[in-house]
Amino acid sequence: MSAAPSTASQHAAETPRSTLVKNAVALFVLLGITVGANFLDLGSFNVVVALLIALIKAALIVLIFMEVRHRSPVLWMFVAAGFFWLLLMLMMTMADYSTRSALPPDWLHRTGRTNHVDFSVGRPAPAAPASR
Amino acid sequence: MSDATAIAATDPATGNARAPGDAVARADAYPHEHQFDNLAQQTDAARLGMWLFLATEVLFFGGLFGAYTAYRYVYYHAFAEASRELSVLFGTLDTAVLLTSSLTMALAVFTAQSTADSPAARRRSGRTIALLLLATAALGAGFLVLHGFEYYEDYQEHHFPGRTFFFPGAESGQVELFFIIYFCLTGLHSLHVLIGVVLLAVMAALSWKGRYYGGYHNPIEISGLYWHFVDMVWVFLFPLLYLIAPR
Repeated sequence: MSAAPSTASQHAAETPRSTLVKNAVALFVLLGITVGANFLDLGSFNVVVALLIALIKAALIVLIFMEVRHRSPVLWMFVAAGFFWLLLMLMMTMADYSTRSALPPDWLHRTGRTNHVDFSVGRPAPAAPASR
Repeated sequence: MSDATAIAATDPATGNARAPGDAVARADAYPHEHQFDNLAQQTDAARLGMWLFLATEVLFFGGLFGAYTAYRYVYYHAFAEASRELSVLFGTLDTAVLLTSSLTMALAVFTAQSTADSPAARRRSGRTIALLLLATAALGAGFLVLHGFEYYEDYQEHHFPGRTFFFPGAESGQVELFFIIYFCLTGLHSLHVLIGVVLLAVMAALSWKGRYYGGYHNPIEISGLYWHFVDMVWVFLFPLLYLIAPR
């Protein structure tokens, strides 16, 4: 503090306080919008709107509260990697589940190669089909 | 001595060129751990390590999110019905409490980052940081209490999976599956909140006497990353559990 002319006493935070407060206000506004949208009937788009707003909120938290926008490209890659692997997992899971109904339930029996295996295991019961 | 006064263009230990914002070039007094060249490198390594941990956390929660996504797709209608059983009021309050706690956490990091390196400033800021961290922990505890009430209401409405579960109609089992995933997801998240509350209480005690300041605030920042991450998980849980069907 006293001796050297270039003292270390002038520490500045990377994100100003006003930005942090504005970010919190923005998050609360988005919370209001997402709750409000839940009272409108948008059909299947209710989920889309809710998830879109959640993505914006998460981006605000990661970039401003967690200060990733001030970080190095290496750190950006680490951040992206976590979400990228999650995306891969969800995509592969859904590639399975969303294509199961493309084949008729008895597709393997129709080939005539089997008559002793119950392939209905793991499928939704026929009595309660996934109704959309 | 040489670190604090004479600033060479290159680091004598490594021969690497010094960046303008280099901690040694800024003559920081705080000693870094011996395996690092300087404090800036130590700070970067800590951030990177924390984000690596958070990436594993994304996948830890990701398994349950994946289960949710698959069954939401298969039992589309039942999950919408089940989601309507949850209280939007509780969910909104939960979210508001966590968002507020993220602000107090960010302000604690801000205070630590901008504290000058003088005994008086550090002592003064130390208390501010500690109080902001305690406020964050208190809001986290408030979140857990809110969730306790919510779980109690779920139990009373026979939504807790198991022997007491009841839901009228043919889709009872599929609705029960939603509630199994709901309790696993919120339970795992609440466990993270609980760990965060303890962590922040410890950090508040450590920072009370001015341990952290602009030259050294790594532990506060890293704790902040954890807390914001837990908040971010909730930001996704809230719409997926409470808001998938219009009221």
